[in-house]
Amino acid sequence: MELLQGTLEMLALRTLLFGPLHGYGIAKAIRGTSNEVLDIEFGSLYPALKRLEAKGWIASKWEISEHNRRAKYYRLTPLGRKQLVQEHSKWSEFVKAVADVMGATPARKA
Amino acid sequence: MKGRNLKYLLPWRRRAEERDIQEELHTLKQMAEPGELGSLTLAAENARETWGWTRIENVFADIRYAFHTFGRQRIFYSLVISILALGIALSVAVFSLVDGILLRPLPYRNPQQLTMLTSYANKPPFSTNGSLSYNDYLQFRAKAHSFSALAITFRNGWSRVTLNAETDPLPLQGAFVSPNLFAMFGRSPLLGHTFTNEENSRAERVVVISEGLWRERFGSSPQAIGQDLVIGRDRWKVIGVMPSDFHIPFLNTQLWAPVLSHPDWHDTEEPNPLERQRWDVMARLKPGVALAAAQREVDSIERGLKNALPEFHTDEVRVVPLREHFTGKVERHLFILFAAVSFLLLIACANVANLLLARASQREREFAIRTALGAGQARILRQLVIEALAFSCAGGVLGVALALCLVPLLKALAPPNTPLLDSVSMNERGLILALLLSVTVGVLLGTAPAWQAVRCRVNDSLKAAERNATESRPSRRFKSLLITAEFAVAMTLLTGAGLLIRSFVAVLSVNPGFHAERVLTVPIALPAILLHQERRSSIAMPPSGLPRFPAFRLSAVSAVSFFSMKHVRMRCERWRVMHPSRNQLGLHSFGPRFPAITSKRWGSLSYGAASFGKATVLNRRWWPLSIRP
Repeated sequence: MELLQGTLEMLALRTLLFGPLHGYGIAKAIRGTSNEVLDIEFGSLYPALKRLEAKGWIASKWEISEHNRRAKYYRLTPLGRKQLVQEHSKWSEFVKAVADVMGATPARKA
Repeated sequence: MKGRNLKYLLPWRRRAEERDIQEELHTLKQMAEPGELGSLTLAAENARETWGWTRIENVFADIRYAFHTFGRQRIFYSLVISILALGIALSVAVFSLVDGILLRPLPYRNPQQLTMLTSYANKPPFSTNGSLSYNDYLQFRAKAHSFSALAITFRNGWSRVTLNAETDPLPLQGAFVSPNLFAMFGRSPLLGHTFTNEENSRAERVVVISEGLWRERFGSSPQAIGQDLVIGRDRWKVIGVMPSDFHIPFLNTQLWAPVLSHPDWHDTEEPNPLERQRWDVMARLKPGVALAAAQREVDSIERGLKNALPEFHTDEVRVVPLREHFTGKVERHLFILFAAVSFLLLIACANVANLLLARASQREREFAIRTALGAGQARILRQLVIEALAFSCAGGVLGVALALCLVPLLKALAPPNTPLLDSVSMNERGLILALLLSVTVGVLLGTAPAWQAVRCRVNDSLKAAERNATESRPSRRFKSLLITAEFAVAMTLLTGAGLLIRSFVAVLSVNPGFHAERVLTVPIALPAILLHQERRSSIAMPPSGLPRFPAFRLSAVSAVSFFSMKHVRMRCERWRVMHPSRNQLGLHSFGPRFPAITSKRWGSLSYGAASFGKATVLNRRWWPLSIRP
């Protein structure tokens, strides 16, 4: 499923709430938690991470992974946590509002 | 955060970041399944874009590439650059002339308020030289409410005065002016003071001198004030020094004396001295008064004068802005010159465009490859425009350097009486024009071949193995259009030049009413000794007479300058009516065979006849026409 415009950064922030992850890990996590519904394009995720880093919402560091490999890990900064809270409430409002408008699934005409 | 991160402006920061990205992507690639992450090149590319400098970096890359291209085709591009440099240099140099002479405000307070009242005849014989009478001046001063001040100067008074005539006589440009002239122009003297109304009404022999004369005669000493200058045979007291950029009423005026101290003023034999048209009247408009309103008021006053004194008021009086009075004669010439060099620049551009088009068809393959690799039309356009900007700016820089040499050359070539030539220089306005021209030319020249490049069909061009594949039809049409336009402009320029020469020939062959060929005039300055001799009825010759000069059949001496032959006729007519005034006695004293002047003494003619003298050598044919001896 295609992502809504602008939600990718929010998803990445949310994923990092559980702890530091590398770029591939983030992509896998989003795919996993969404039960493979959301297909993340790495080509879009990677620049999104760079943007978040530039804004100071996440920070990166080279570390040794569980498979004993060097990898760049991203973690949430306090500023990013604040931003996530904000985006979360905005997102909930948005979902609620859209749900209100859409209402129940309309019955199919026979 | 949107926008640019300044740290990425530094090249080494960019390189470090680039290495980091490559390393990170490499590690991720090893973790993921093959192909799972998609194109990592694209990911890296997109990441770089978040720095916010990609666009500018591309521009720099294009500039680097442009210079690389220039390096490969040195002769071609040095030709292009020098053509453009020539076009831009000429435009900028001539613009500097136009700017200095026509566009810059005059160096006087509120110059837009300054006007000149000139007379003009609206019916034959059009016998006016623009001057007004003293009576006109008094009437306008009393009745015209459009002007805050009026000043007068004697027309051609002392046109050449002779300074310090005891030793080497020095001809100078002098002027008899009203005391308020200096204040009206908002200028005060460097040293001393200008003459007062009292000094004027007492007709005192006082002079204000120019800075140049002050330097020359007094070595810029403050002691100059109060000293005497011998002018003609009289002593005049120096009371002030005017700054060097005060050019009123003539460009090279070096002496100003009170109007009422002019010798003619006390000539009792002069009939109607108040009505003689020999004054230049300058006026300053009151703030907020339009030129047209002033003209209406002057017209109504003039109508009243015509009713009262019809015989002296046959002319109309026109209010002319002072700048127009000064530069009116050269204005059209300058604009024609400017138009001509603009046409030249156009031709240069068309030439370069043609050269570029010829090369663009050679480069078709290059653009086809770029398009195949994913370059959009905008990207190719940008590359070509940047390339063109690079060489047009190089042309601009070279052009400015050339213009710096051209401006002094143009100033040296300009006629010596060109107004305001002092204020002409290559300045920041010329530089701005050069920049504007370079950019405009660059954009235009870049777009022309780009238009062709983006239209080319990639497949055809790629398939065509030979480099000089046949040109496409639209490109051929475009080129022939360019050549046609170039030819048209060149024809216009040539025709214009031809017509100019034709009018010049026509002016030369105008019949002035006498035969001007083989007539020479030679101005001479006279030593004081001669001035003590009888001045009125006959020309006093040195005892030996004017030496013979075999090359001349007839020579004569006159106190009037003959630079305008039409002028002379007019004056002659007038003299039949009026008694000759002191400084015009020359024409009455023409002998049928004047002793000629030797060639040996030609260089140092220091004797002659009249106090304000000019010797005029004439041929015989001129004789019967206007003089009755």
